[in-house]
Amino acid sequence: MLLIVLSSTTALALAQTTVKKTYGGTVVCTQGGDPATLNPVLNTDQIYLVQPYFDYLVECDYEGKIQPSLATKYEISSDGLTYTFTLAQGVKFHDGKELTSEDVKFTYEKILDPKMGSGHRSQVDAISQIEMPSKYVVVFRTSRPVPWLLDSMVDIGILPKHIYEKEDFLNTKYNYQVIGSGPFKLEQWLRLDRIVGVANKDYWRGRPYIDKLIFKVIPETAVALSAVESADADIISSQGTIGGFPMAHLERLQKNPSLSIELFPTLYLQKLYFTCDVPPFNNIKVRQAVAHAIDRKYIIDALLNKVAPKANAPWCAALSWALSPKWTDETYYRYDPEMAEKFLDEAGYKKAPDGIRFRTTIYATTGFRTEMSEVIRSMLARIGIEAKVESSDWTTYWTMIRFNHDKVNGMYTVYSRFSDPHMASQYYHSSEVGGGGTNGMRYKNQRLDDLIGKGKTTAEASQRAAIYKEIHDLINTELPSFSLYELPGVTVVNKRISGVKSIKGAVCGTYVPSLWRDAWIPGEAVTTTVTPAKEPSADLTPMILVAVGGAIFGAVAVGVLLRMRKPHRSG
Amino acid sequence: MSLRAYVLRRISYSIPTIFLVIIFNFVLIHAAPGDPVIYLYGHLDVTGQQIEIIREAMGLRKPLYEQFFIYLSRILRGDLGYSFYFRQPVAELFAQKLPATLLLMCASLLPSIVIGIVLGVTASRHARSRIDYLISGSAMYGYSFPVFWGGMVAIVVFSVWLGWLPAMGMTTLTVAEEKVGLDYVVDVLRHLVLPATVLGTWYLASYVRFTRASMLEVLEKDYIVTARSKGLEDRQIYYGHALKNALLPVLTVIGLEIGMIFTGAVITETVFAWPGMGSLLNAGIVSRDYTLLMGGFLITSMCVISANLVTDCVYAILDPRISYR
Repeated sequence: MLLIVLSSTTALALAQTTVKKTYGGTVVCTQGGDPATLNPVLNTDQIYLVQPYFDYLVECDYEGKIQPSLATKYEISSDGLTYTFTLAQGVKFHDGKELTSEDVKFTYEKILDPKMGSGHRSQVDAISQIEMPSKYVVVFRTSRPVPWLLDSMVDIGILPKHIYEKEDFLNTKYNYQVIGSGPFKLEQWLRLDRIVGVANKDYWRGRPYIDKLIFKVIPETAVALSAVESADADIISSQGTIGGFPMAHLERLQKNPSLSIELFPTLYLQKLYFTCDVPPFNNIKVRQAVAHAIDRKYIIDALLNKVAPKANAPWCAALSWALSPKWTDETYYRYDPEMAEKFLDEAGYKKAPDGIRFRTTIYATTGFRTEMSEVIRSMLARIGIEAKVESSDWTTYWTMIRFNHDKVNGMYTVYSRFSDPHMASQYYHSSEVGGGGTNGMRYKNQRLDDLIGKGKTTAEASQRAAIYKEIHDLINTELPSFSLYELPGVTVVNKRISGVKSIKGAVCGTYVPSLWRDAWIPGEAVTTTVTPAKEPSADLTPMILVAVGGAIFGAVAVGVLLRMRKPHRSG
Repeated sequence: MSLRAYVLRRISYSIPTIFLVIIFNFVLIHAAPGDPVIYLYGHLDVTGQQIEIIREAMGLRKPLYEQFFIYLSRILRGDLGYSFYFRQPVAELFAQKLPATLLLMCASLLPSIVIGIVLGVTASRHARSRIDYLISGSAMYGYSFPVFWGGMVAIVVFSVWLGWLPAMGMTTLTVAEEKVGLDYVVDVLRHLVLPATVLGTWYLASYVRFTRASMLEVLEKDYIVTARSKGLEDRQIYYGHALKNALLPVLTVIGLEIGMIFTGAVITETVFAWPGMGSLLNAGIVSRDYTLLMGGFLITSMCVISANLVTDCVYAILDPRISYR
């Protein structure tokens, strides 16, 4: 008997639907940059681009809650050390082979192998053993409780072992011609152009309504917006927009009758970090003064179209269980330039005759964060801090912060995604100072190290909450970083497509899963065409056009040249 | 010396040039801060220790001179290597991107060469008249507007407001079924109009200016006076006698542009999301993709060298005073 278990969300969605949905049509999503690979082990940056082609042990519903997926059932032992997943049966990879526990084990072993350089590894490195009691049951044993393990699994797609085991994992063509078991099959990936997926007609949870899903790479955000406004593309969202979604355009987009706009909370946080080991920011008073001098409301109003909430913690408000109640917009360094000046006087940075207390630098990546840094610069100028903004490209920036510590002194802006307070806290651990570690603040605090260590090994929910509340208090008081705001998610969709919905908060806050759960195109006739899978290859038509044009031009040019030469010969 | 011997000698000269270009590119690219690993992992919560392990696996921890010789030996075997970022053979990536760039460059270069020269001659023929001011005035404007800005304005006006032409890409993607045959060609041409016009305007303007300036210089020469006194028709004087001599500097510029045929449209391609070489090299620079960039620069320098060679040969055909030595 073939047993197909629907996930609760899909079942719910089907139950609510009264309209008869039709199959067919193409959805075009804009995407800022081309991903390095679609291999779910290696791509940790654009998980939403990988998702259409793979299955995941667990998934998020629209509220961001973990639900069973490929694992139709999962159990966690009471000590939090054993995870048992029961896989759906009859799940087939796109090449027809069945997905079994072997594939799950293979995928996670690749992630745990440090040589593979998987960005998922730090989140699942507590897995000490993977067992396969049967073809459809996988048991993970961890060396310590990992409360965020399921959250991490939402990001990890299952690879087919039979394809990758024979290959050089880092340099195989299957990193760009991926084969998974997901709702879409990768039909064609033209690098820096488009990624084309076609509906997997045999998908074990029923085929997607749309026939084709295209991610069109448009490097310029302004052009991507125009493409959606002129209906050349259907969706633009905060996911995949380089340098953040241009919130200033929201008002104009809202007036466009053919577009619908959805705003939702994410787990992205914008912070300002201080280099805490050298003057002036080794002085806590100076850090607090800067926090008091920054008018966060102005930044949100002027740069973010008033839609971003202030952040008062080192992680997002969605992780409310880990928030200390002490901190509100009022108590978390409310805008008060006078207080800032008082703190600076106390710290010994008195105003020189020219009105300047000290000079410093704000480091930022190009684009939006440079703009924001300029605003902060002008705010600091009011209290006598002369800051210059140093804007650099992504790679230079991260090299500076992680490796060239001696060259960085001042503040820098980073936004990051934290699905668990543990990941956010890790950035402040003293072991991450130097050697390319993540603690670019060079902040060291023994008490904090101890708490982070304790948080990592504690499973019991109330104890964990208490630890992270304490960390929250400690970081907010010590202020190695100042949290500015939470980045809201935005999805802009052409109304010709129905059922696009974004996952709130959650692991990556994306609309992409709705494209196979609920999205359909009402106007589109039912299509039955079966497109044969294509090898990604060069398109020859432009070449032919070039050849024809070139030949005509060449003939004319030769003719002209010959005619011109003639009089000389005769004369 | 015969033409063939000349060409052979020029080719043999270009071998050390290409070698120098390879060394220079290698040093230059590695001098930029950061490496592909930082681009990929710098912002993630990947520990410093793990970053070193990944560098080791990618062969980036070897001494630079060792990396250079590994690269050189691969190049000599005709292997452009594996892209660090795209994890795909570099040659394969270039092959994928080449057609679109060639199409865009030819569609903007070729018409602008022809129209530019004709307009330039017309302007010089009516020097300092209204026609001249109109032509050289608009050429000045066309030459000075940034392609980036022009592209954006064109998109807003013709795609968003008027809805006449597509805003980006090379084909329509929102349709249920891919277009085939003639429909497909028409679709590509529709997408080609805006980028080719914007880029072409810039080239056109530069050819108008070069041709006009060069023509005015030649028109003062004695042999033009002689031609006029012989009673030759205007057309013959301008196109037959003057243009032939005035064309040499213009030809140099054309040669340079053709040498840049793979990389000349980086900005236009970025603005219109045109899937060509430009976006590829741009991505390579941002992600410090050493192999991809060196491959791109190598191909570009070879193009420049061969375009120069061709220009020199055409010179000799146009001007019999030039002989191969």
